[in-house]
Amino acid sequence: MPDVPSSSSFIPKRTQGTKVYQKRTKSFFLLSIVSYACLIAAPTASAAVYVYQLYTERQFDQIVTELDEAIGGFSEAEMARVLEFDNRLRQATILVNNHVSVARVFDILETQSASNIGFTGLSLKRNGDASVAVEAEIIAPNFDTALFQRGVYMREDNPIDVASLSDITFVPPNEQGVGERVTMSGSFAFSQESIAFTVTDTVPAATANDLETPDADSSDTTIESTEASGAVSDETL
Amino acid sequence: MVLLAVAILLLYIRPTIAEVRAVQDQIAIYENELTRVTDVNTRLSEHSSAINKIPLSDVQALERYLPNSLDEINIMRDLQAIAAETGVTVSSIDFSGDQSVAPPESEDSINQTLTGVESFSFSISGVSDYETLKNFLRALEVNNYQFSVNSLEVTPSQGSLSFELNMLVYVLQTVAPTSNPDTSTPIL
Repeated sequence: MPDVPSSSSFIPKRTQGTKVYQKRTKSFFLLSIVSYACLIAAPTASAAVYVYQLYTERQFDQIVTELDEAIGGFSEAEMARVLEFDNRLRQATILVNNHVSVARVFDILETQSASNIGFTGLSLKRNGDASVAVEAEIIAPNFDTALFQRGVYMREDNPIDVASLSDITFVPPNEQGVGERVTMSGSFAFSQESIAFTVTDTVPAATANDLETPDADSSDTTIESTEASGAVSDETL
Repeated sequence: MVLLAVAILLLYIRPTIAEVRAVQDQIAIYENELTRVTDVNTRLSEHSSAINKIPLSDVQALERYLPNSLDEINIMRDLQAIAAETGVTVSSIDFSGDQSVAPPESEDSINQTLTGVESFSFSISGVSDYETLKNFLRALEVNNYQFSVNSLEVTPSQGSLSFELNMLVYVLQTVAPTSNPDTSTPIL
């Protein structure tokens, strides 16, 4: 096919100069858009930050006021009153929980002693760990009673936690055949649990008019009566 | 204009945001403290209301059981009264003074737990028979304030029993309140 001359084409040809001009216009347009965007965004952002700063400072002032009011609502006197009551109640609870009945010690010794066993002396001491230690001088009419009593003290169901006999001495009868006896020293330990004070009849001491008037027994030189109720009896005698 | 925007960003917006964050941190701290103070006030109010609901007679009984101070003369008078009512013949009543000691080493010692009380020693010696002595001991056990028997010596004497009883009476040690309550420690 033969070449068509360019002057006969109805389609206009682009020149080099027109392409460059259009590129510069496009860049300048984008830069303008960015500039205007920054110009609008910067003050807007500044205003927003300023408003948020005001809001935050107001929030801070409010929380400070609330904290001051809360601290002002605290009463030192009331705190002291509550603390004192709590301390008193706690200490009183400890005292009550560790309160022991010395009379209970005597009751246990009564029930765990044979009817013909006697105590000629007794020393009781409260230990720091709330237990009670008892040292007693015991007298028995003969060895059989002493052996029986020792067996009672050594029983596992004995409410006395620790019981031991020592310094055993035999005194033979005199010429008239009387006075035979066996003396020994007893050491006993009672735990706080076994002699804990229990409320059964809270009669105040000031109104204890119903207490029995004791009968003095001048012939009884031992601490425990020879016929204590509930005493262990020696069935072998 | 771009430079102006950048200048606004660097000179105002960023520093202001840093300040706002610092204030927000402060707000968080204050809110935490407010919660703790409010909690303390609430619990203090609850405990105070609970104490106010306790009958006055019970509160007075508790104060009698563990008083703030020692009245040794009244205590000795009470001992004499109890002895008279139970039939004990009193030989002497003595006040030995403050017997508060350092807690012993044993872990189960009562003295280790009694950190807020003082103990005072009283002694009474007398003569009675066996049942009277037991009744006297029982009467001491139910007293309005505790007589804690420390030691007892009993010996036969001319048809009766002579005894020497040493007891401890406890008094509460008062704790002075602090001027700035520490909200970090739990209340009660």
